[in-house]
Amino acid sequence: MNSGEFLSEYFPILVFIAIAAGISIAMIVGSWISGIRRPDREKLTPYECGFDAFTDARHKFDVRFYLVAILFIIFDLEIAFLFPWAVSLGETGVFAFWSMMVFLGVLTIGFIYEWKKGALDWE
Amino acid sequence: MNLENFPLLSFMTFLPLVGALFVMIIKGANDERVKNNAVNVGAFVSFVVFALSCVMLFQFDKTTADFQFVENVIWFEGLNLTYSMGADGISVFFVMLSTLLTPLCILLCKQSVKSRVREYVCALLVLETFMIGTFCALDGILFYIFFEGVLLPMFLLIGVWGGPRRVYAAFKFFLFTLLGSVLMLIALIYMFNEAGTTDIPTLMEQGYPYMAQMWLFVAFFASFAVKMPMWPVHTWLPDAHVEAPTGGSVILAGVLLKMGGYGFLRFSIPMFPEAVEYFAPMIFWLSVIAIIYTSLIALVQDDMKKMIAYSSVAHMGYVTLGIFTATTQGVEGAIFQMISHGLISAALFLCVGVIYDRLHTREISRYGGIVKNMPKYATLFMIFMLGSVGLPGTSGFVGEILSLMGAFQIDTVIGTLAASGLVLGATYMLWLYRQVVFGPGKNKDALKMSDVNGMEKFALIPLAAMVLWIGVQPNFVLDRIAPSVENLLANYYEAISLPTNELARLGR
Amino acid sequence: MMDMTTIITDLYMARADVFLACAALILLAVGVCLKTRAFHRIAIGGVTALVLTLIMTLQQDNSGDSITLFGDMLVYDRFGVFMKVLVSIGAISAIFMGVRDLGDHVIGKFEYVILILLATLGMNIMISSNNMLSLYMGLELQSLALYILAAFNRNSLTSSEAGLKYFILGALSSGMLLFGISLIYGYTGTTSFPLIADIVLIEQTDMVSMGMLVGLVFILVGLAFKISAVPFHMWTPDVYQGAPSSVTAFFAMAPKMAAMALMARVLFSAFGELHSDWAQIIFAISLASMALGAFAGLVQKNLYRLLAYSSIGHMGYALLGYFVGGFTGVTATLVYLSIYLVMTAGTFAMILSVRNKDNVAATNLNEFAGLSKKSPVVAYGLAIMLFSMAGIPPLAGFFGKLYIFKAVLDGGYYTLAVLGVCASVVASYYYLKLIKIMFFDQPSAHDDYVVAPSRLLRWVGVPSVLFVVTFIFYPDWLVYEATQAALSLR
Repeated sequence: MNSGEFLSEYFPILVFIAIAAGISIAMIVGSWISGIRRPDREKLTPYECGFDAFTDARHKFDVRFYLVAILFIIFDLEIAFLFPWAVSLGETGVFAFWSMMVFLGVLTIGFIYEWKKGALDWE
Repeated sequence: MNLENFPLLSFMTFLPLVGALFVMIIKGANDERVKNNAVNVGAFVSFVVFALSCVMLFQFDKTTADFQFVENVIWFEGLNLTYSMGADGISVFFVMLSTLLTPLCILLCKQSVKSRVREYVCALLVLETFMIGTFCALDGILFYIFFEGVLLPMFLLIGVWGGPRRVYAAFKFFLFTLLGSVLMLIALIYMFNEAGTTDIPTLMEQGYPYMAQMWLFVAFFASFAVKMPMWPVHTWLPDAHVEAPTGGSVILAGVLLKMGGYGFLRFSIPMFPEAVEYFAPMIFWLSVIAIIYTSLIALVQDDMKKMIAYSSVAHMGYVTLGIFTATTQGVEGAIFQMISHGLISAALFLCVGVIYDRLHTREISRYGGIVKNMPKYATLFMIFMLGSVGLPGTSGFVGEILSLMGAFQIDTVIGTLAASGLVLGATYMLWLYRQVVFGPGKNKDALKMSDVNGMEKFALIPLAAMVLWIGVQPNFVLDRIAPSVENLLANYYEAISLPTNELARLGR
Repeated sequence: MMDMTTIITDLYMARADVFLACAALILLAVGVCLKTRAFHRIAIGGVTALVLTLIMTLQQDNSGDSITLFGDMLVYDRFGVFMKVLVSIGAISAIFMGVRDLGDHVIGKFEYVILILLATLGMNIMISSNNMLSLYMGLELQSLALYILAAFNRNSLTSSEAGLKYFILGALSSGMLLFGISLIYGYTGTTSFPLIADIVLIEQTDMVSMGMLVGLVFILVGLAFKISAVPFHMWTPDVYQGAPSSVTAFFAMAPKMAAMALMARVLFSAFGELHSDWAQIIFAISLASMALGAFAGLVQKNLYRLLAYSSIGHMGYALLGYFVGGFTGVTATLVYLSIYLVMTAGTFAMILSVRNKDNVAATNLNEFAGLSKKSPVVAYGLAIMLFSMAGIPPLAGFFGKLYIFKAVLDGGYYTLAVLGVCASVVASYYYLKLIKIMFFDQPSAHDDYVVAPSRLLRWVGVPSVLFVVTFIFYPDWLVYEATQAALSLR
């Protein structure tokens, strides 16, 4: 295959990109031109359940939130693996069983580590 | 003693290295004792090496051009490299020069070197290993390793124990020489790939195509011309000489400069004869420029070491001139000139060192009239000064006259111009001698200096005796180098007379 | 569906790497339970694990044949053994250095050792990979561990910056690598190296598809990031400077070996037939690396930035061997890499023993002023390493360059060889500069640096110096091993 032929195969994609870009730009520009804008103080303040905003929105969260979020993701993914594994265990057999055991073993070591490190203590 | 199987050359080469190891581990209660022990051990080892080299010289068979004391050991099977050493008439006296000058430098460092004497002695011993190795190696890569290894101790010698601008001088010395020699390395590897080995005798018989010879010659020339040094790449030499400590200057002038000339004789002429023939006219002119131009520069120096350094460049001009005339007289003269210059310039630097140790200046105008308080010194200095001028009866005369005879056979103009350097050389050396030794004693401290002491006499008198002896008995040297030179030139003329190509002849 | 007995056999054959993985996990669990001196104890455990892994790896070598495991995912051959030995030496030295550098320090967490073990595991997988997927898996395992190591000193802004920078650029390069892999997969329909090689061989008769070449280019870009070859080197000086010194030492040693091994696998095992196509790329990056490594190093004031440019230059020389290709080229590169590894280990061992009153390793060049008076042994050791890096005979570094240039001239690339040696002369200037600072300069009056090599640093430094100095006497064994390794890479 030569390079001209190779590139010509991408031509439909180029057309697609051009059309997509054109439509998006048209929509944004159209709404910007035709929209009515009358800003006042109430419209510009952040909405917080009817209260006035207490603090700046760019607030530093406690790092513990991130920690918990990351720990959650890991165990969440584990569940995502475990479900299909459990359902199909009858067909996949002993190999799949031990594979998952190894995976859980690795995860357990990680769990012990984070426990001992105190990642699960809030205070 | 059975010398047939005794690895004499390797023994001589690596004994200093062993000595350096011993010196390095010397411990002592105080600095003074360490210093004395280091110097004594170093001097002992280097005298043993000198004794061995004398044995070599007496065992040397002066009837043959072959390599003698040859050792061959498989060293590097994967690359087909052998550790092979040997000496012939061309190299044997350079080995002698190295083994002679090192002990003298080590002995004299007792008074001239103030700090880190142990390391200084170590550096000199390591340097000796590399110097002897360079002249004995019969394998190209091995030669390169020794040749290049010299840089390490020399860099430290200049940089640690040198004068005020020592850093600049050390860097210039190192980088100039390195740039030249890596090009030689490329050429060596090319020859290696062509021939499958870097055994020098094999490489000598390996012919190369005309263009390859040209490039190879240029690459080798880059290295040897810097080392020699030839005009216009000589500029590192005055800096290095001036800044180096006395021992460093002595070794630099006495031995290191000869590596360039030795390289031309060992590699360029036998391996690239057609290129040598082609480039010879250019080299003649470079040599003539070196002789006249650097002599003129030497005339205006007010620093003694710098003046001797420039005179070295001029004297090396005779060497390149002689080598590339490719005549028997020229080449023998060049080798003789190198040996004689090795003795004389080394001795001159020692002489400068003697008064430098007393007054700590090398400025010529700070001295004067010291003949009154230092008569023995004045006598010795005079012998070396006259040797450098090339007075008949000293070794300098033989080398210069033979080189010039070679030059006159090739080209009268070149010969005449080169001969004018003799006059210039006499001018500045005599001026130097008059300013330092005679003249009005206007500096009181110079007039208070004590005469040469025992150690200095021990170093200078043998050198003076040798300068005079080979000046009146040049055949002791010439007989031994003659067979090798005859052989070298016979092969050279055989190679260029082969009708391999016409361009070479047109270039002439 | 895989047969259980095959799996068990394969696991047994790959026992070295399996053992390393288990050891890392167990040490992690043990380390977190230790109350006192966790770093030192885990370091002992880590070194033991690495040594045992090394022994098991060497046992594999006895058969001599190359074997493929896990459905052709991994290949165990002499090339792999050779490179794994290099990586393990790098890792063990890094742990030794870490004990001195971090062990008594507030940031000295035992995780350092675990991360090195995991990175080593990743590198072992990279070295053994026989498939684009195992390649990527090993590479990411290594990279993730390295990102954390770069940011290991959490209290330091520069270290955090180094970690972040390395992470972002590393992720970018991984992305490019993956993109390249997907293109290759799209055009060949396989990710296995031997199968790709077959397809390339068939297509060779016609003409290789553009898409495959584009994919190969992207893979090379991703790998060039990992070995920090110009123009993908930008992260190197900052990371070397920012990361803790012992981590920098590790970065300069093991990952480079692994990435070069991986490059050899991709270039020779998979795309060997396309040598004429990829050689231009390797030529360009190797020449650029040599030149930039030489010239940019000249103006550096920080020691680690200097060493970063030095390593960039060295990778340029090592790549020359791949550029020439074939059996001689690969052998030359392997010899060069082995010598580079030892020189780097020795250099860092010397550097790390020079420390200020806060027990932090010296970073600026002028902090080494007058080192030869304070500690001649360290100064001479470092000088030997630097002279060797500059390629001055009779030290080992010279033989590395000799081998590389012999291969280059064998291939007939004369101009390249001349450019290469000229770059090495320029680079020698900055090595000399450091030697000058140590030997010719006087120590400044107010400096409070002490030279305190620990026993472990001596264990790294002394063998390195001995190797570099005595290599000239017995060069053959290394060359023989490298030759065997290069032969098995087919």
